Amino acid sequence: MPDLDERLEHEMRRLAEAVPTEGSFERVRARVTRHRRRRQLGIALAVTAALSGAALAGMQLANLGDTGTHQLRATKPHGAPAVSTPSSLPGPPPGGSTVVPPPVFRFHQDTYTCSPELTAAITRTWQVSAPRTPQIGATSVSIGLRNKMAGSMGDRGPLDPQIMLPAPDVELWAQVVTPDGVTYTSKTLRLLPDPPDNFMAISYPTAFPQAPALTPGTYTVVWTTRQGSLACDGFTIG
Amino acid sequence: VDEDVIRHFVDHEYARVVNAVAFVCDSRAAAEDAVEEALARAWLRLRRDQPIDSLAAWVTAVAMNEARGGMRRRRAEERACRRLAERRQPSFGSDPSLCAEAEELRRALRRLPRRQREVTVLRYFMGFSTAEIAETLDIDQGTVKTCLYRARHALAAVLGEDDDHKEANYA
Repeated sequence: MPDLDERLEHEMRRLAEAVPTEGSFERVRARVTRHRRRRQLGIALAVTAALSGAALAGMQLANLGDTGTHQLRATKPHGAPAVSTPSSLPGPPPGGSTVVPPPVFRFHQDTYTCSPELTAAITRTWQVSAPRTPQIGATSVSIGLRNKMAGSMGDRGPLDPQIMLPAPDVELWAQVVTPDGVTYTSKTLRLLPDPPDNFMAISYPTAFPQAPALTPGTYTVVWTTRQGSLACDGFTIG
Repeated sequence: VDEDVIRHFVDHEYARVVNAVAFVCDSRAAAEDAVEEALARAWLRLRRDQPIDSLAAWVTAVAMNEARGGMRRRRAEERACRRLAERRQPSFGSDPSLCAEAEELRRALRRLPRRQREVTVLRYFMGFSTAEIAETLDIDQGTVKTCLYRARHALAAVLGEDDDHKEANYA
């Protein structure tokens, strides 16, 4: 029925009101600015939350230490050469010179998650890499980390490293907990902000002094800065 | 370039889309707020070099989604009512110059279920095809045709017309 269609079109046009556009463009532009600021703030909060969460993890560890189950180790002076030392859980490490405490996290192969869980803010910021299927007879595995938002905010323009990364030359360690609960710490690593999409990858046990050959079981990988843990991951040797 | 695209849209398409969204959510204040929010997102998207095939269709779809949020609508109305009051303009739907028939059509539109109202506005006010409506509302074309058929039937009675069209006649 064309008549009805035409009438509906006509009547609806009559119902339309004059909409002033004065100031609309400026309001849209202001919204864009607010969206971008909100995004920057969100990223800054995410990093802050990540570092706070890591500090909290350290406090939990300290509490465990009070019960005699775990103990915090002495922190290496800033700028001194990193020393990688195997450490077992529980108990202090030999020599007590490890720069970071052993992780409290454990990786679960069936769900690809760690317990206790790191906050979502960390998960969104840091992306980890490790074999996702059990590695039969592997002699080494590659593990990696990258900051998904480093160098870019998904928008044009450079990223403020003060917000996105703890610092361009942040000291970083990978800690691997073996199936029998012994922790091995990598040499000191430096996570550079560029290029943002590249994983920083290292091999276990090759890059972990004193780490023994791989044995069957589930390994936990914890990426840690001096402030605390950034991300948790793991892999399984079959 | 992005700024020019948005500015051109505001100058030429903004009012039409605001009216379309206002027909659906029955509030021009909320419609203005929703369309501006949709435009801001479109602008950010264009800045990221993410293309938008039809800005009018994209903004309409996003704005309609925005306008569905009840809380957002209430907040938007508070803000926009203040703005509109400053302009000293009557609110949407209270134009005394409209004839009784048009007012009756507006009331009939309000009585339609939301989906039928959206489809009707996109077809008869925005001039979208069935395929474009389906894409905008993220529903299949069969649903669009069914909604159009039912809405048309209801509106025909208001306009004093017979509606013996079959559902399948909509393209």
